[in-house]
Amino acid sequence: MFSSKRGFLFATLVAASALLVPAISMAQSARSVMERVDANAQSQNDSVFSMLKISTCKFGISDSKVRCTARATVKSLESAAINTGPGGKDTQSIAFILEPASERGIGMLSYTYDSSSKPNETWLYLSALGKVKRIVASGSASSEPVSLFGSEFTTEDQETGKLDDYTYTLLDTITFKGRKTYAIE
Amino acid sequence: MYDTRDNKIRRVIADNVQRINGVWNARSVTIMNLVTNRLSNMSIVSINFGVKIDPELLTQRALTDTAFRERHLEALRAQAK
Repeated sequence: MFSSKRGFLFATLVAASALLVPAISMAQSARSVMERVDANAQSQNDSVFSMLKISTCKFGISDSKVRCTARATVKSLESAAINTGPGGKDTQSIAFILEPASERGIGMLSYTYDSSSKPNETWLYLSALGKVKRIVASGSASSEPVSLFGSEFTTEDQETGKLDDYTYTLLDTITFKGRKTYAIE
Repeated sequence: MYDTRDNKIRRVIADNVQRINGVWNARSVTIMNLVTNRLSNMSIVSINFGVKIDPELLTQRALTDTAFRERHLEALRAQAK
């Protein structure tokens, strides 16, 4: 059982990320699998420039299928990230809304640190207000994940590192979509 | 994803997993909020690795200074394939 909200969040992301770990013949400890997951996530930020689309809607389930029950809001983003710090294990990233035009220029800057002793930092810029707002650093006692541009994604979903903040248990080794997959809590 | 009372509150679905430039990426990730019945899907339209990014872009100035930001983004767009 996890003792914190953040612990639950991370565990679920781990489950999703397990798909990204190539099959390994030898038995792995949960920690070593997580180190590989984190290393892969870190590689995704290695001098990367990307265009993203985020669609958000209310959903319902009918005939076992998930469907939007209202028109989705769609946002287009540009994002850039580099790895910095010792061993390139820290990450600096920035993302801006391109569309819709009414939100163009809204941006988010994040500094993510591998070390458990250094809280991550995020700044949000709302172009309509013309102000930069510093988000409470994650890892601090009062921190809460912050929504990414009004979506269900949060700043925490994007973070890497801080493996020492958690304990990991290998629950099972399964085959998922044809791949050997580790279920880790 | 579960809350402290073991209620299922969030579901994350990674799809269209591809190895790009030696890095595994889920080109589509969906997060379902099972409390509000709201979902978001994030899809990668394009991704470019090994791009030369000026560290100055990763500063608060880029948030507030439109001309500065656009100049740096134009340099990145030019490198994108």
